[in-house]
Amino acid sequence: METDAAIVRRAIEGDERAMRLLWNQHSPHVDAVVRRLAGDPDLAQDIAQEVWIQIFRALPSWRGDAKFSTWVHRVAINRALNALRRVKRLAAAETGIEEDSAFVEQDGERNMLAATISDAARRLSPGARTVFLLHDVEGYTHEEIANELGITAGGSKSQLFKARAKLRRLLAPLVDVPDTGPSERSHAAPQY
Amino acid sequence: MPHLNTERIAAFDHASPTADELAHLSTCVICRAERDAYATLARLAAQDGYAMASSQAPRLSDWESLSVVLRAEGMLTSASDHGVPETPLIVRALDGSTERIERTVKVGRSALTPSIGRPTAGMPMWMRSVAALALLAGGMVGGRMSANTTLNPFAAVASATSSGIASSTTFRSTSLGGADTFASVEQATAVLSKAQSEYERASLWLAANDTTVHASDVYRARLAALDQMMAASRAALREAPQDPVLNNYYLAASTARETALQQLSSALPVDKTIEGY
Repeated sequence: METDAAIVRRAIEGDERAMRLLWNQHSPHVDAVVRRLAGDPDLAQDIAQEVWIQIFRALPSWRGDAKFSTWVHRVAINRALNALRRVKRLAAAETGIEEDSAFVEQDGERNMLAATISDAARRLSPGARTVFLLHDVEGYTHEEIANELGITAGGSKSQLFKARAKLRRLLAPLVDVPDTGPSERSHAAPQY
Repeated sequence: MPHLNTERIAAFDHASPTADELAHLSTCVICRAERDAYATLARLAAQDGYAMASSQAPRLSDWESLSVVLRAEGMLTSASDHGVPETPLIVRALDGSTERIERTVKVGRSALTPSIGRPTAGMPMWMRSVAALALLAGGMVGGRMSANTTLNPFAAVASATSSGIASSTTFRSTSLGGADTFASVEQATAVLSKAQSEYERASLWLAANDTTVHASDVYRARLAALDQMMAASRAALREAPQDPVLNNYYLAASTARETALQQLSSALPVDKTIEGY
């Protein structure tokens, strides 16, 4: 079986079969990354091709010191963020990243509980969603997030905790411990 | 002690609870439940990445569109790829009879029109920008082709569009190599997008409204010349695949060729359809 290094080498040389093989193998994963970060199906479709072009452009920079799938994942995140920035969807997030009100929804959220993390994350502001996804889903450090988004590590932390608090309320049916009686606690976080 | 703040509990994985907070947690079932809920949330988030990657969601990109762009960029260069298959030049009458023309050309869909109805759908911003930059070269193509014709709306509109852009954006021929004409990349990109949009609109209008009489010979000659331009551009791109100027010329010729093909198609007798030329 041909190694990743061999396939990548052929792809760098412009071999269509190798390039298509890489696309075939990794596009489900790249698509998942793009879908998550875009938070909008149409936007995800708009930037997916651009992300792939950027991945192919960046192929010579893969040195083989990390698994190719890991490298693709990282490049996909970086390029998707760049693409999103370019279409201005992150502009509001970056300018308002330090603001307290990081959420799209303010009222009535208890009537619209989410069924999955992805559903709930889509209801966050773009900045809060991006920070949450990068930290809690992708495993980025706050320093890495700060570097990617052009914000401070403190701003990243602040956004993360707010995002978690919002998600915890939206995902109450999923995250609440079931054996606690309704008289003691509700699906929403306690209001202090 | 009052209940712990929600965001404080959400931050326990970053800063461990203080002694006071631990004491409160040991006695408060509500805050303990909150802490557990956040732990569950963190676990779900970590699992979410794997779940999405393994889902059967439809792909966001397709290889056909992607490969067109990769070819245009010069990244895809394998022997079988240079775009489009060799196609004999055949005009087929509706009664089934065909007329084969000796020479062969590459016939294919333009890289700039990947989908019907919305020519730029799915086209990345960089490519839209390149297409807009190609306007200049497209104008040159149209102008060159119009040298021996009395009516050439293609060249006229290309020229008019260029003029319009020049007047509205202070774009100057001498500024091609200068960086001081635009205040930012965003401004330049916006101008390019507008120009590309105008160019596409004019091209489509011309293709639909060209009333040149007996123009098929003109279009055939134009197509032949455009083929030579594309062949020369391709040859140059093999030497310098990343060169943006060469890419622009290739794309401009490709766009002009697509338009000419449409015009030739409309110029043929109604009982004939073009399969090649």
